[in-house]
Amino acid sequence: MKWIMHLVALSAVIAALTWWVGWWMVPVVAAAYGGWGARQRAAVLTAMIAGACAWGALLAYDAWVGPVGHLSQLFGTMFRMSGVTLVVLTVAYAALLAASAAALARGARRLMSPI
Amino acid sequence: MKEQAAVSAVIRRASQVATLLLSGAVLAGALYLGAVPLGRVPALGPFLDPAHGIWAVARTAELPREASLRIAGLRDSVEVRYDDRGVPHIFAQNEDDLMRAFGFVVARDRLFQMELQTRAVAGTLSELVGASALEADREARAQGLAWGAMRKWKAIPDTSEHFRLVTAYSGGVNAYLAQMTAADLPFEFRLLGAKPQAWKPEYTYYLLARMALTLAWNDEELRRAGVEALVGTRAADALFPVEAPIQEPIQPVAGRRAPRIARGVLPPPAPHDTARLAIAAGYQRVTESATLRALRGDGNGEVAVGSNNWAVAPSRAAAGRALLSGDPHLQLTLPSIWYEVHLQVPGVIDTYGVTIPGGPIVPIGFNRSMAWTATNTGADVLDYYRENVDDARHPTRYEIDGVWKPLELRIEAVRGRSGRVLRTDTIYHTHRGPMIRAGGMWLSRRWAALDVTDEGRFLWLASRAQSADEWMTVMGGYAAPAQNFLTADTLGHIAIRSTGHYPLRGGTERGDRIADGTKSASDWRGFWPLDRYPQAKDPAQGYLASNNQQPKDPLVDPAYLGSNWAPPFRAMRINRLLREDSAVTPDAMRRYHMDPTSELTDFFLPPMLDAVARAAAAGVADTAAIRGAALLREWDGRFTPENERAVLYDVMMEELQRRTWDELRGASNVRRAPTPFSTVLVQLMQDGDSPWWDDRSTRARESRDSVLVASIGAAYRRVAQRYGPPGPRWRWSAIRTATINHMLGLPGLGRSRIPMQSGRGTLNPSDGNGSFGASWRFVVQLSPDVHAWGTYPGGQSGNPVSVRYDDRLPSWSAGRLDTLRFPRSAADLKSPRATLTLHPER
Repeated sequence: MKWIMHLVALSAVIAALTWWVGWWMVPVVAAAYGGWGARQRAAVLTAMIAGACAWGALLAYDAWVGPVGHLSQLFGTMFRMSGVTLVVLTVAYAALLAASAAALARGARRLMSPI
Repeated sequence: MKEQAAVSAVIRRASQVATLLLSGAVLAGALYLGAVPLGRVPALGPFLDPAHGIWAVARTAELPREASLRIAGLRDSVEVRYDDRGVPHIFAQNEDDLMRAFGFVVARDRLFQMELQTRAVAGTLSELVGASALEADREARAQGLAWGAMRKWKAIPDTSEHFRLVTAYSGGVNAYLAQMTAADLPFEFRLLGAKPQAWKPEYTYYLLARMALTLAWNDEELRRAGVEALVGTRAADALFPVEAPIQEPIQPVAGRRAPRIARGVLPPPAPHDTARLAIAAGYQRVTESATLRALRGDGNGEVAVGSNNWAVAPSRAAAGRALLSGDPHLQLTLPSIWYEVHLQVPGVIDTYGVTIPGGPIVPIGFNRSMAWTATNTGADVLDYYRENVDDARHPTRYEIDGVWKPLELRIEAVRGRSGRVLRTDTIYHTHRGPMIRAGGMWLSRRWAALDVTDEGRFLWLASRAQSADEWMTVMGGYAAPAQNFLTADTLGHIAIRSTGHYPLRGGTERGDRIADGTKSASDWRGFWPLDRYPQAKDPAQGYLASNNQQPKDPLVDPAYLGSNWAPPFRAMRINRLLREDSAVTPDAMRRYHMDPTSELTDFFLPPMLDAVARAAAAGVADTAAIRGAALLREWDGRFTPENERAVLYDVMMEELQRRTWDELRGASNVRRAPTPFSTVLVQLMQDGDSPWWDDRSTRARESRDSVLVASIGAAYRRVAQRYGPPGPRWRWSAIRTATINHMLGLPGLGRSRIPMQSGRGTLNPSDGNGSFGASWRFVVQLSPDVHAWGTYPGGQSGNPVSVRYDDRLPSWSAGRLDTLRFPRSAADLKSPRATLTLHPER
């Protein structure tokens, strides 16, 4: 339950800061979370899923107010690939940013702690 | 034990360090991809960002139902109401505010198009799309388009009304840029990883220069040099005549009800002149550049492009009101070249029409009193001069009347996306204009479109005119590109005038040959007086039309106006339709746009059928020719979508032209010169034994009949090979389709295989690849309450995922016209699709 709450909160923060500031807030927030939750085993996984959820939620909002399906199909045609590839790439990129930033911060924090 | 713990701690620490390094490397890689574009792949971070990146294009695809903004420079509030077709109706209290709002709303829908077109003229495309545009940029700079536009802009007094209005429009574009959020950035900018540049007032003149390049770039001198080298001067004069062999002029000839067809024998071809061919090959590189081919087609221009307009006097209109129709044909792109708009300032202007995004003018449209439209005149307003310079490689002076004069130098540095200089060119100018090096010599170019004139002002003032007469008076000073402007008004008048600056030349008075640049006597001595322009008002016949044909019969005025005129088959057709209908309705005008009949067919089909019959009777016709002729005998001569014979005729005409004009191909059988228009072929058809019929690749000597028979035989074989035996696969709708590419040629953003009713010589011509066509069709009834209908191939929005991107294509393809809403006030426009209120800044 606690983990889910962490996940939801982290996703919300990432989504909000992406919306208000920009894409680079994903690694910033994830790094902060990774440093803060260095002792949690699932910190990196949580950050990764939160990054994906945050951008997934923003995409869902985009799809609610605009023709996201049309846009992804258009990309599919332009780059000769499946229409969903760009959607997957978007979510995966957020996950990668969040996971790597969280892992770096967590690792640094643990490295600084006494042996 | 202690040692074991220590070793374990070291291992754990080493593992942590390794994890740290790995995650650091992954993050660094992800951030690098996020922040730095790789080749053509944009930086992934801002690109994929679902809040501000590419996905925002979907969120901003449609206009918000209601929006209210404050923008700099406004004096009063402006209300913009978008109707159900996405057309903005702009209601302002003064002209300055109107222009500011005009710039704002056009930028809101078409920002990337404005940027791209401006850069194409400025020669800065490479900065946007990379080095692939280098040659196009160099060509634009050598043509002097931006240089000429800047001269025009600088010559406008900054105290003038027009300067103020163009500046206000520019301010409106920049106001849009200033309030734009990251989410509003157009799709194409995101793909290119670029940002829009600030808009400058002179860019309006860049766009007018672009129109001039499309419509008034006349390099017949260079093109005919290749013909002269291949077949000699006499033959070249006959193949590309100054006087069109079939005369159906724009300015009606009193008492004449049928076209005047020239009789005469074409002089035989002379042997190839190898030395001149080498020079002509250099010219060909200039005339067939990628840019020019894209703008005017690269094949048989007669088949691909052809604008029409016509007007009917009240005496021949069913409702007793003047009618006007416009049908300009251009290269088709998405977004469309046109943007529809309604501009209103009470008591000053109330105009509806199409504008070129970036140009604060309505070149084709109507107001409460009158309507106007245009076709291209195609007059010769560009001359080349062979210059004698002091140094072939790095000239500094040129000779004129025995005196050496200094050349003006213009240094042009083309930059790439990174700002690095890709190429620096020196453009040399004589007093006539920029020079090019072609065919081993220096040629200077005098082009009316580069003269210091202000077309924008004339067009703006004309759009406020209250009658056909006033419109023509206001437009008297208009220079380029020369247009056949047609007007009609609510008083019942109709009028046409081929308006533009037509040079008075020294020497032979002809501009279709390269002139001697060493003599000042070769220079232009001024321009035609206005009363000599081809024109007519309220003619007895009760209608007027223009279709790019020679505007004035040389029997009426033999003065040189140009050469190589578009064949008048479209003119003959619309004149016939208008002659035969004494009660024309707006719906009939609409139908005429898509009329499937071609007057051209009558000149070739019956002689071909007769030739095959004679050959069959003599036992010399092959089976394919006999089959083909049998099929065409069943044809009704109409290019309708369901027709299964038109394709055979079309290919037969291709074969006929290819076989007839084989002399115009070089030894390697590669096309070395343009193909003569079909009017010349009509002339040749009268001479069955002309040496032009002879196919040089055979030992036998061919005649007209044998070429006709061979052409239909070859056509039958080609069509059967490609589409199988006669049947549904021969259906014209599957073969003649339109292709509308995106401006950048991006796949998925264009539309292809759009059915269209068009054919060779019809009022709706289109070539094989279908990338040219009707760019805007409209009909106006000049009743006390003006009624209008129109459409264009595309939509108002430049956003490719907006429903307004291409929502008009189905009606355009089917030849339907939408009712154009022309409200008298904002309150009159009920249930708008969206509203935008612009307020002054506090």
